[in-house]
Amino acid sequence: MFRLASFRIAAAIRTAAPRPAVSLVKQRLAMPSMMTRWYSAGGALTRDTIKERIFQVLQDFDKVNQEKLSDVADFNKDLGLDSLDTVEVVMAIEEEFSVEIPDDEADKITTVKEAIDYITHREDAH
Amino acid sequence: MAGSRTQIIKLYRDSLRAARGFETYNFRKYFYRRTRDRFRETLSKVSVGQVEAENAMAEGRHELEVLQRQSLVNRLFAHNRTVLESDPQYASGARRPNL
Repeated sequence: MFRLASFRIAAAIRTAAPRPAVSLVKQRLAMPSMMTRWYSAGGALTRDTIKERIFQVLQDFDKVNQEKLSDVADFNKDLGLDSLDTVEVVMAIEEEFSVEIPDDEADKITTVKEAIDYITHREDAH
Repeated sequence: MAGSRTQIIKLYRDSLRAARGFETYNFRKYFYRRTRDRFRETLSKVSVGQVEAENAMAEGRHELEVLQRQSLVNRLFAHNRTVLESDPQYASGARRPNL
């Protein structure tokens, strides 16, 4: 009686088990490593690309003091942006990399370097 | 004073986000510009007096609500893209905020 019940339960578990997941793992093992990539893997953004694109955003922003544009420039002190402009620049950077920066993080970005660092650490930026 | 400044920044960011939410190119650009110009005015009022600042903040909050409602309504309908938007250079909303 007990044996019969345990067989049934085992059979039920076997059919209910997520088969696709198992076969996916097998598939992944069978495929050459170059062809498999997790969706959660980091993007192809390098620090140089990020820097270049942030510079492009800043060059498009006509209030920026272009002569002082560098990767250590402070938005306020070097680029001559006030607090409202800084908000706009950060929003433009958000748009450029298709990310949403939460308010408290956005408030902390006050230099070009901080912007580059932030985007570098955002896995979902692209 | 410091408190009101961070409040303004927050309201500004929220308003720009709401303006950016419009699907229609012309609306999006217009409300983005309008929000920017309004907030420049607001900032100059803050230094004038407390009452004016309070009024401007109340007005700004009211406008933010309108913007959020209207951008939501705007997104519910289909839109034809403008010629400008078919050019990838201008495709994103705030990429060139001064155009």
